[in-house]
Amino acid sequence: MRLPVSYIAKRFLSFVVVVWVAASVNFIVPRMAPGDPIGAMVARMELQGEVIEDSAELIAAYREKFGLDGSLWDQYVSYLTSAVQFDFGHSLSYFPRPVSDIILDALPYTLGLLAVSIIISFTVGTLLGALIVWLKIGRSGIGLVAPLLLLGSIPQYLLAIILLFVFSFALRWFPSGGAHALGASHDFTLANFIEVARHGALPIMSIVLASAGGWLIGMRSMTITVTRSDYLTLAKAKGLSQLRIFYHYVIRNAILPQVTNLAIAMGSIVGGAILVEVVFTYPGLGSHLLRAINNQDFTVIQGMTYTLVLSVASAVLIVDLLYPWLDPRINYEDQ
Amino acid sequence: MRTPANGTRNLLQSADDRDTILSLNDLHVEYASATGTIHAVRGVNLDIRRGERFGIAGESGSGKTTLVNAILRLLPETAQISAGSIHFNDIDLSRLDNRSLNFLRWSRIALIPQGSMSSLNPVMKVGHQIAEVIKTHEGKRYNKDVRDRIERILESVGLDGRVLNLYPHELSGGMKQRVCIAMAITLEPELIIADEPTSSLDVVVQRQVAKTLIDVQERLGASIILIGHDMALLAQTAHRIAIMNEGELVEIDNVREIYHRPRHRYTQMLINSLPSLEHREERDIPPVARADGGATPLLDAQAVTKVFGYKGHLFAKSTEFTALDEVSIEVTGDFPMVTTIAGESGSGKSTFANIVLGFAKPSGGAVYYRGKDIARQSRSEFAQYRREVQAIFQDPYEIFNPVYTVDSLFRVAVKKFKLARGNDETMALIEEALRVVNLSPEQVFGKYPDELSGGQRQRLMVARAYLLKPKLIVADEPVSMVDASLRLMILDLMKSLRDELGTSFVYITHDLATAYQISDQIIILNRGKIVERGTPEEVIKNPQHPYSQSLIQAIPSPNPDIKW
Amino acid sequence: MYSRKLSMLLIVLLVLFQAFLVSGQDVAREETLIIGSDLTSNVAADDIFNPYLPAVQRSLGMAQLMEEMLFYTNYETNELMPWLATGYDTSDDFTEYTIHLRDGVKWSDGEAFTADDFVFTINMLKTNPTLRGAAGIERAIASVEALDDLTVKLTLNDPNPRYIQQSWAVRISSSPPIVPEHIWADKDPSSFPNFDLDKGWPVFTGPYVLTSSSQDQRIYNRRDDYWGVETGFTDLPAPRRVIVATAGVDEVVGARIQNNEVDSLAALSANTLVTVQSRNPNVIGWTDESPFGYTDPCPFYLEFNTTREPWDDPKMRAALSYIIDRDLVANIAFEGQGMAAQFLFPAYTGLMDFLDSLSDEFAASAYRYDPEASAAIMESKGYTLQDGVWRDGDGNSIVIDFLMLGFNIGPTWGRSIQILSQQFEDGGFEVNVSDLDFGPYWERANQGMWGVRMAWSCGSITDPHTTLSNFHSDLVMPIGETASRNFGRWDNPEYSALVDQLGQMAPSDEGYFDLAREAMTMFLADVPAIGLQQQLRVNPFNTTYWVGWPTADNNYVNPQSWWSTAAIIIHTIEPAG
Repeated sequence: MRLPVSYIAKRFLSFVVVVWVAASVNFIVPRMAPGDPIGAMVARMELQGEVIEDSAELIAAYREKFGLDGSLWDQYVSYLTSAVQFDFGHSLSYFPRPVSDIILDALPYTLGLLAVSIIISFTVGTLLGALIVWLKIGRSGIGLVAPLLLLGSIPQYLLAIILLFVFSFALRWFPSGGAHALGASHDFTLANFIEVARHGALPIMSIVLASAGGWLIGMRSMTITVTRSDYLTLAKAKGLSQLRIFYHYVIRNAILPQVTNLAIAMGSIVGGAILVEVVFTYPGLGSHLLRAINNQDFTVIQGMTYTLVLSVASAVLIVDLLYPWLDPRINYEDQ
Repeated sequence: MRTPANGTRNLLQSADDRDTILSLNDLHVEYASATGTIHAVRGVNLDIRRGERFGIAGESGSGKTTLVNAILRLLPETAQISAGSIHFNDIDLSRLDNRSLNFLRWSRIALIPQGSMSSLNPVMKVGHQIAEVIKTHEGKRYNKDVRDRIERILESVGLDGRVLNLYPHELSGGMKQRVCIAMAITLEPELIIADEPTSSLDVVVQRQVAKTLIDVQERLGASIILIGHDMALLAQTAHRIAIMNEGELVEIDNVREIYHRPRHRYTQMLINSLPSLEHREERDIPPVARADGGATPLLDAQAVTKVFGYKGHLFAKSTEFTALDEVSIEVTGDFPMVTTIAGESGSGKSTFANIVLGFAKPSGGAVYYRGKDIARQSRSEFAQYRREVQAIFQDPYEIFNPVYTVDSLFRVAVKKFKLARGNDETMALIEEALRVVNLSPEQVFGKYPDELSGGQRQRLMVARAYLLKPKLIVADEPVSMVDASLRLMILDLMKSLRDELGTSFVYITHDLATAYQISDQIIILNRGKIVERGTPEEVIKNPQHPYSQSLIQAIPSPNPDIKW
Repeated sequence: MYSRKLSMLLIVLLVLFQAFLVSGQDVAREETLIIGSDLTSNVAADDIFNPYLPAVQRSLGMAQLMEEMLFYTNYETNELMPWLATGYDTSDDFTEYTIHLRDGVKWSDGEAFTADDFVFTINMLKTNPTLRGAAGIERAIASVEALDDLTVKLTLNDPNPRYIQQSWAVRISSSPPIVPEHIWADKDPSSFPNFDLDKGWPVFTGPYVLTSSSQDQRIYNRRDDYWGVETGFTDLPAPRRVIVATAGVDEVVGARIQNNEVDSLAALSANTLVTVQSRNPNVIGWTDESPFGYTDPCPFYLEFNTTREPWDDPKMRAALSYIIDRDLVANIAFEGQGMAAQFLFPAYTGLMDFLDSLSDEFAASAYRYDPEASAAIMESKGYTLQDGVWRDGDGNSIVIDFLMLGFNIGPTWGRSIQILSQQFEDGGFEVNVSDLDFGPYWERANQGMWGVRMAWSCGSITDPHTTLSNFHSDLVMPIGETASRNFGRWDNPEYSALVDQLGQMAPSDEGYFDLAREAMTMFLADVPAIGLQQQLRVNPFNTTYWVGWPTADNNYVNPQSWWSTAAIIIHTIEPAG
């Protein structure tokens, strides 16, 4: 399937616009919140028992250093120029740690967690949803689905805590937090790889259990629609094998709205994953972002949300670009 | 598995029997539903001969599609063959296991589905959809030979062989239908079941496709069962016709007998309800002069143009296309009349209806209602216009708000247009309107639109239009989805509204036969342009434009003696 | 053939299984000390070990394992423990201090620790105002010089008899660490991360070196060439490896120590500790029974904005003080395990003795629960009680503009604010609570945009001066400008003069406590602030792998595991087996 240049260009354009709007909102919102990030930094140090005798001087020195005294417009322009270069300067509350370093350390964990969870949750949910209809699993199917739906209605944060208590503290099957074994090096060895997988298991399970039900329901209703379609009747009349009909007709067609939903759901999945990371003290963006919000660490908030928006927008862009390949009917001109 | 054509046959069978390819014996099909068992097919007996084109005619709900699905064993879960047998050659299809069925399907019995617009897998290329039957039944991979073979088959139904590389949405309706025909004949089956094979096509294409179907059937020597509701089409294509009503075959005979000497009452009704192009009843009530008539036309469309899409820009090609191109139509205000705007799909006739109803604004030109530009009415003028100009649509389900009961919908209409004072007066008005369309309040009050049958909804639509006693009704394909009996009733109603209430109609249709019967003026649109206009006699009997000629020529006559 | 494949598969599975069990640790758990840090979330700056940058997290092992202090203040024994220093002398007017450094101290890279390093560190702070704590150093120290390799002379701007204890002996949490000149000399201290494991950085004098640092854990290995062993000053600490790991959110930390995943935690609620102990008796608190916690040096208190009506009137401040039942507030805030604070001092022996000597003054003051006294004041001010609310002649009620840190700081704060609001309302006042996050809270607090605020008071440990000095008139700033201390802008020149006098005396000086009593009397009469409750912090330890933790029965040092003083704990604990 060859995509028209105009389609690709339009997708890119909307991608850029989305990222720009998000980046701007991202700039304005933390600044609309009352309070002063430098003051927050000092307050945090003091709460930890440190005595900052001359906070007024320190605050003044830092305000100057971070250019927080400049006009909002100047700050915005310099923010945008540096955002394009993926340079967000230094963390306000963790000066002089560069924001991009914080992000680059954490991003692989978050992306890994998200990618694996989304793939598992989407595949399992979608396949189960299709199979329940296709294999005509009636009441017993509902029995299978109900727990998943129930789990889907629990906030991921709470689900994470429940899993932690059951599988880590009670059964001790999985470690309770972090991404690596305590005391282990970060070298790439088989043992470390297995450890990373074990540490990722519960966070991934939290996200998968919370979201698979949604995919299942969506796929189930789409599969019902497809099984009532004319082309399925014809496929049966053609004497095709069940497997062929299931894959080439049922799944291939019913999955299309799922893929669209995937792009839509991406944002909320990321949001949920952030909290799950906090529960598991997983070294992803989550705990940094949460703390940065508490500390009004503008630069970190900006850098992280920008990165998340960029990731989500890229994922949506990829889905958009792949979609015509999945659904040849897509009308390039109307989109 | 494949039964040899000769040899193992039971020698006691008669010559006639040997000629029989499909034999249904006292076939019963039942559906389980929430309200009880529905007996959809009731004791059908039928023999179809080798090489025969056999038509089964019936209205919606008559059980004809259930019958087809029973033969192919494609009944839904809830349905079952409760009695009887289906013998295909020597094999009782009703008792075959799935594996054997899959063997038999397509290689010996193929289907041309109803609604072939949606019968092709939208995400699979046409070639693959044909190739997969070759792979499944002959075990051949999609290689050069198979490709060539598919191309040849596509060419044999009048398509370009390269169509195999296209997706269904890239094809027109007629092309899709041909693809379905090509698919059906790929394995050269003995029996083809064609379920309403051309019902979604425009008349010109319908004729071509029907001809193609007959052509390939004759070439293969296969039998074909043609299912349809259009008696005229069946009359032109089938050798024998069975009439199906409420699950039973009420009459089976050859085409001529059915047309000229229908025996069953139901058959007679069907034949009588057929609009004919041969003669029309002249309008017997002379036009009455109206008090508010005069020089000003009731509706005056002047050079109405509608362009859809947008001009291109840096990233997009222009997608403009002209749906209406300087269309001028005048409906006189001197006397009530029916003006038909006829055309195939894409001709712009529905766009015109939408502009007249104020749902769309013309890109150029203007529509004047009693001298006022409808696009420039004041709020109060527009409210008045809304009351005086009503609409009847093809599928009224989309028109009624599904969250209101029928009576509240009607009450709201009465209240909105201040037609009555007080509850009693309101009810009296509503009941009168329902009576006109043969509905009783008990049948519909308290029900939601989706609890009613399509026919009931269509009648409600007419009743609502009647309730408001409009000056003009825009009827957009009001009868294209309804059964013959209801069609007759609605068309009669239109006539009586015109003659008794003095309501004028703009009748939008693709069906020139009904247009011929009820119109006072016919306008034929083609690709947004008027190609023909005049009285029904002028337009139908003596069309000037080649397009009109081909259109009229393509209309099948219910009389088998008049060749298509 | 088939069986060969099968055995191959078995071997692979076996290897995988073993890998699963071993999980990459090369030091046995019994030899590893695992400290749950005081952070609930992962650190953003895992590559910054410059102790003077805001980003640094010294509590994650730097302060306890690598840096060593000149002196440590032992809250329990109330003594100054010399460590990198051996002692100090001071001039009679308390403006010059001579500090004697210990001989034989070496940096972890083998270089000698000398007076030059000390001088370098002080000068670095004096010339780089954005460094953490730099302003305090610059304000206090006029000049520094090395008299010889092991002797440093500090000249102060103002006389200060408690200078060493305040600034160089871990008064609270930590003191400025000395950095090695030979590494820092050519670096920009305002950006130097002091982190390069290949070079052996960070270089400090302590017995551990950093071997890895990530967001969720830092690993330190013991080094056997520690100077303390060579000089005979001290033994090597017992743990071969120390891991400081993120403790995690409140909901899970208890389960972590219960499962022996960590050997200590920075905080746990007393009630959770009881639950944990019922399942794992090896987990201990400071005391065996309630309240389990250790008194933090910074108690909670209420402060009045003395520039705002009606709190500019000492009588009105007293009226509010009378309606606060401190015992109730403390017990509700700490779920029945609380301890009320009579004043703004932590409940440490020296300070408590001082307060005891003031019992008459307290009895005469508004620092007690007496609603009737409050009502009497209100009536004398022309207020009448209408439907439980005090109203003036015009029918206006008093709305307390109550500022405090947001609920997300912790449940203790949330419960405090609820019970306080309730008491204010019971006393006839209306309350408008602003519970804000760090940033907005701090801004409004130091600029004086509030009526009454709840905060924590860090100051005195042994003698009353430091806390009293937080309310000095010199610290008063106009409303809207950033104040460093005395956010309530209480301006009492007489009192401030007394504080100045106290500042130039040592507690041992004659007349010191009489003067302090005088200052206290003024404070009590004027009511600029009210003590609320001691912060009792439960700092649990796990005796499964390590024993010898500080407890009330074995109180060799205060127990805070995230403080510099925890170095002493680590030098003391022993393997359990």
